[in-house]
Amino acid sequence: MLDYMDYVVKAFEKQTNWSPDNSYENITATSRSLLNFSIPQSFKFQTSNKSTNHSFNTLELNRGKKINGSLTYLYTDVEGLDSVLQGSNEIALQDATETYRNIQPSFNKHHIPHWGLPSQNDVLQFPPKFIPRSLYLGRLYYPSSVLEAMLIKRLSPYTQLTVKCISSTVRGSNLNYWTLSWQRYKEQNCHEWILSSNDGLCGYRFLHNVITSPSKFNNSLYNNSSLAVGAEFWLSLGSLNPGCSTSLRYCTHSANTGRPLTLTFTWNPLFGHVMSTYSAKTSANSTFTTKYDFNLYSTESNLSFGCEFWKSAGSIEVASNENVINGVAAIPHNEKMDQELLSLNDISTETNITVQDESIKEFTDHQQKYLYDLTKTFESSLQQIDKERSIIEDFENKFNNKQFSSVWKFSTSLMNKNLKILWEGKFKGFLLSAGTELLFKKDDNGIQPIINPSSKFGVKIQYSS
Amino acid sequence: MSFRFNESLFADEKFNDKIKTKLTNLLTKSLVKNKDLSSTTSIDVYNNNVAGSYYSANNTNTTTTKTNNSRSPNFLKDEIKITKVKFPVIPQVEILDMDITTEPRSLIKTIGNISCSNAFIQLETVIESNLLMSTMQTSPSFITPNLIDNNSFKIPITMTFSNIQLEAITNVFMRNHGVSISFNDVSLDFKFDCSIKLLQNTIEKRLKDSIATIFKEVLPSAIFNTSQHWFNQNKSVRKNSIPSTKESSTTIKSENKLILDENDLQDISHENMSRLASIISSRYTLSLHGTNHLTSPYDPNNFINFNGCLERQNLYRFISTMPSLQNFYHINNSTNTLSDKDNHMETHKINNNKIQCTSNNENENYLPQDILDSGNFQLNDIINIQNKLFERNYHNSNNNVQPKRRTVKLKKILSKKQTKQNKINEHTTTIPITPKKQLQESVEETKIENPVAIKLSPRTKEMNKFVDNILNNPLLVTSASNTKKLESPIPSPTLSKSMGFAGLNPYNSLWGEHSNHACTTDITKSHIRRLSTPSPVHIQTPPISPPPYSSTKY
Repeated sequence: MLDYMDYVVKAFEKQTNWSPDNSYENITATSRSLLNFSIPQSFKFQTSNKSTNHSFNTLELNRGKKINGSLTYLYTDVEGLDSVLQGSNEIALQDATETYRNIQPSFNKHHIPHWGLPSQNDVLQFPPKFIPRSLYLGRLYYPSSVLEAMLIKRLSPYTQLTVKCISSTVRGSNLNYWTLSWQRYKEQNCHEWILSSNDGLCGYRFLHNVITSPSKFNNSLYNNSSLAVGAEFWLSLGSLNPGCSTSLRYCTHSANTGRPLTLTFTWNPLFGHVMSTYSAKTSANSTFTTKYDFNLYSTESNLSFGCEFWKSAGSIEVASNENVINGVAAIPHNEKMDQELLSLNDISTETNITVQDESIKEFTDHQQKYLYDLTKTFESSLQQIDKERSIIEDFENKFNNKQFSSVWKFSTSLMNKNLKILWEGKFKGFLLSAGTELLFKKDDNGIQPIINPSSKFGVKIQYSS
Repeated sequence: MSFRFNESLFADEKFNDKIKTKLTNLLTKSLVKNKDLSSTTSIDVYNNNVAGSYYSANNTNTTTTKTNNSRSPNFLKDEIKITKVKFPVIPQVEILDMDITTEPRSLIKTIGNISCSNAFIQLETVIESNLLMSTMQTSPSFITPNLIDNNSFKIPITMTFSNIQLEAITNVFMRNHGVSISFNDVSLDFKFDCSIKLLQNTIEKRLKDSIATIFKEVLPSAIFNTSQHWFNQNKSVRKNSIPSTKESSTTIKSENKLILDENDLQDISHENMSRLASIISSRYTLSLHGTNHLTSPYDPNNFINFNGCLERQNLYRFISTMPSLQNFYHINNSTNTLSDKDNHMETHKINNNKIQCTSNNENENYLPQDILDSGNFQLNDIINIQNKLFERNYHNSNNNVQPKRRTVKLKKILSKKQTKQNKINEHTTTIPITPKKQLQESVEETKIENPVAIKLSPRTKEMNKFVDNILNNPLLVTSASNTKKLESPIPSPTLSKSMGFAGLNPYNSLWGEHSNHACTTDITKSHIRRLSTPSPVHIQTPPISPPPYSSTKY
């Protein structure tokens, strides 16, 4: 379950048209959210509040061995958040949790972003004027008196700066670090430079979106698959520890069913570690992922498996409920509608031809005939494109517009012999999540499952208005 | 000092196996302690507090990451195993010198030489090679960037130390609450071989750097803490152990109190230890059997355990029995006035000598005034005593000072002294006085070095008598002519031997050290091989015999 502040930050990025999927950091986000989801470790209660359209706060209480908690304040000057953010009563469960990330390729090379909804004082103009929006977050933990601060600032249409600080007043803890991250996304390339005062860590990340136009060699005519390659290089100056990896991500959709797939391949040349993941949304209610780790040097291997099952809250569908976060307008979708849509497409092609007929009256008969043949030839293909697109979009909308009441997440790994279980759901306006981790240890009586002593069992309750 | 030596262990090479298991246990124990100690760091508290949503997102093996939440990354992923140990030659301990002091506290000082050669040790462990991961796991999740592929990569490592040559001079101090040891002139040489050649130079360099720390701090504190732990085992535990001082700077961070395996110490014979304890207590009570015998400390049965030995503490009692002018004549006159004068004086009777001690101060070698006044003395006795004192003093101080003898120069005119008695006062009698103190004091002269002219008053009858005695006594001449004989070392081995203390060399000078309580014993080059001697060591001296003073006759 996403924290409310993470939800706000996500909305901020959406409103400022900054796609986190373009960062190399999130290249394996899908498999990460399905395999390594975090489990609440204790009883945690979070209440969040939108005090104004620009400021938010959260109070968190945590009952572990001791009672502790945190206070979070957030301020942002971006417009239109009030229309995007929803309280825990109205929020869709898909938005409140980390799940499969459907990555949409951006075909437009000279893509002009919109900078959120302009405020009323701003004069509408095209292209929209860039306003450097920023977000400030402060979090104070008590009784440990640890202060976290974060600043996200859009410096230019293509750059974003993130500064994170942590400071502790507890004597002897020496928890005073900052991390600076500067990202630049332009022309399918995302560069990111990171500096951290913790051990003098320096990093560089790079991601390139390869596919910018529909591919020619794909047998599917409508193609919104995307391919991204990236690499990261790290060096901690304090201890001279290096780190690097290079990755590839390919996202596509099954042509017949329109279900999205994601494949990633990661290689760490320094330690010879190879990781490949395959994630698929098999239906609107379930997602599966597998991960295979292999070390070229030590031939150590690991197979991980994760899945999630969504439980819909009945067949209530709110067509008017626009899901702004996921960015696609709702389209009514059932078999009947689909049929109508297809016929509509047919009509439109027909009308197009007739319009063309009218416009080419001046052409000669020969030319006219040629054009007509041409249109006739590609008619089926054009119809197919529309059909495929509608299937894919239909599937997405089906997921996005469904009302889910709860989700079960499971993940297991062969090497660690563990099973992680997480349940997340909505109950009377509260967002609940509960989970535990079981370890399977060999005993005298065979293999016995025990609860992981470090994580145990935890419940998290969130309420926001 | 006593210990039981398990010789059979070293008879064959089985002790190599024993060393192997002990080392493995110790290393594993310290590793576990490491983990325990590091469980409550601030970062850990913080991470529990945050319970970061995406903190462990990248780590597949979360079970291992949770257990190693120490601030300093622990790159050891497995316990250290000692696979091979080979000591072809048994390590040797050579005791070069040993001092035993009983006053004011019992203290044993020893200088020893530890040596071992051609040893071979091989150890194995698994290390984490992805150190970036270890550091990132320990840093707070909020500011730590998320790495895509940052998995652990464990490498087994084998380290081989061959041809180990160790030579160290050690100083050992043993007090009644612990053993402190210091290593001087350590020369340690070994061939190091690491399975990861990349790390060999680094590890070798670090090892050589830390050798000094180990021998200066770690080993002494470990031995002290162990010994203290053992000494206080049956008592209420006193917490005055030495914590390792460079805790933060050295790599041996968490071993603030390293204690060796306790099972090793059970080999010590408890019977011997209790005997030693009673011996130590006897140094304070003069009794070997507790305080029950304090009422009769000179019960001869008490000395059964220490035949021929005398405690240094009792030395003054013994000295007080030595004849001096004062006590000799005191007994003869049996006057009690002087003994009553000083409260601290003690009177003891030693059956042979029948001399009453009046003072423990040796310097009071005066002829008592009343004796002098009454003229109730024998010159023979005085000479006898003074010669004895000189012999003793001369022998012990070892300085070849020519004994100055009283020479009385008489002018020829003195030969007609019967007729010209009154002329005596015109002549001066030069009396050079030797040996330094005693002889001079015996005749109540105040000047020490220079010849003193004594003006003899004819009116004093006693003085005249005294001078007559001197002049007429042929023994004086004898003693003066025997100077040469006296210069030679006094052949009194019975005395010096009989005065040997427990565990002390009788050939050493006992009387010369008046200021120093410590009696040193040089067990020079008495090499104790094979780490120890197989039985409780009691260095014995010949049985005590009565001092021969009273029986000596001229």
